[in-house]
Amino acid sequence: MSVLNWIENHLLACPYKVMTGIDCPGCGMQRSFIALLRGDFATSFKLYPALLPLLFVFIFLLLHLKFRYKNGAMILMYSFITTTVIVIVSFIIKMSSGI
Amino acid sequence: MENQNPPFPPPPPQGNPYQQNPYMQNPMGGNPMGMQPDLPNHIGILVLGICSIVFCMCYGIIGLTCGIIALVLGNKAMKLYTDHPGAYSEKSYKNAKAGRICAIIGTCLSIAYVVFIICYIIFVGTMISTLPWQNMNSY
Repeated sequence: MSVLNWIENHLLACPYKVMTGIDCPGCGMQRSFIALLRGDFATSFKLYPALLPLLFVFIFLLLHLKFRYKNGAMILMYSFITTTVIVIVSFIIKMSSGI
Repeated sequence: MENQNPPFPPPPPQGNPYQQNPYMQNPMGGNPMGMQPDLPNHIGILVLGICSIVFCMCYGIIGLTCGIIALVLGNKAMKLYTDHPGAYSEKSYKNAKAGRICAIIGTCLSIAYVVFIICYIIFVGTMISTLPWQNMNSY
């Protein structure tokens, strides 16, 4: 837990948010990841809905590079597109609810 | 161009590859024995293409760099594959193709967000510089 607290106090600040004051599509990812490490799935999803698909894509990428699945590249591509759509939709929802 | 990457397998000899390889089953596909060389950089293309979305957001510069590198390498690999059809393994071709598409999406997103930020800065800058600051002092 102390490690998590240390990480929470040393998050990287988003340069866009510092500069312009508005959230970027990646803001919330680190907070969401810490919530996930604490086992708090609901908070994690609320902060950044695309985190779980992103982690899935990343882990599947590593597995694919290791074991070279037959349709791995195609699955990766489609899950990547899904993740991108989730990122964009959640960003639009976040921006429109903030105004 | 092909000889600049010594760690990767050099392109196969010119000529008809189908006659040299008795295991070849269809002209465009790989053989089941996995004896063909991989396309150069196919793993790099895939990894960079996927990294372009992860870092596309906060750090637009990193995402843009990853995406553009993956795009360039991917185009090179695709050209190599179409120039020598059937000479490289089908799996590496699929990897390169998927990585290239991911890179296109990631680069588009990065560019869109960077353009959005630049527009925002121009908008705010214009607003600040055109406000009548001198008149405000008199009240």
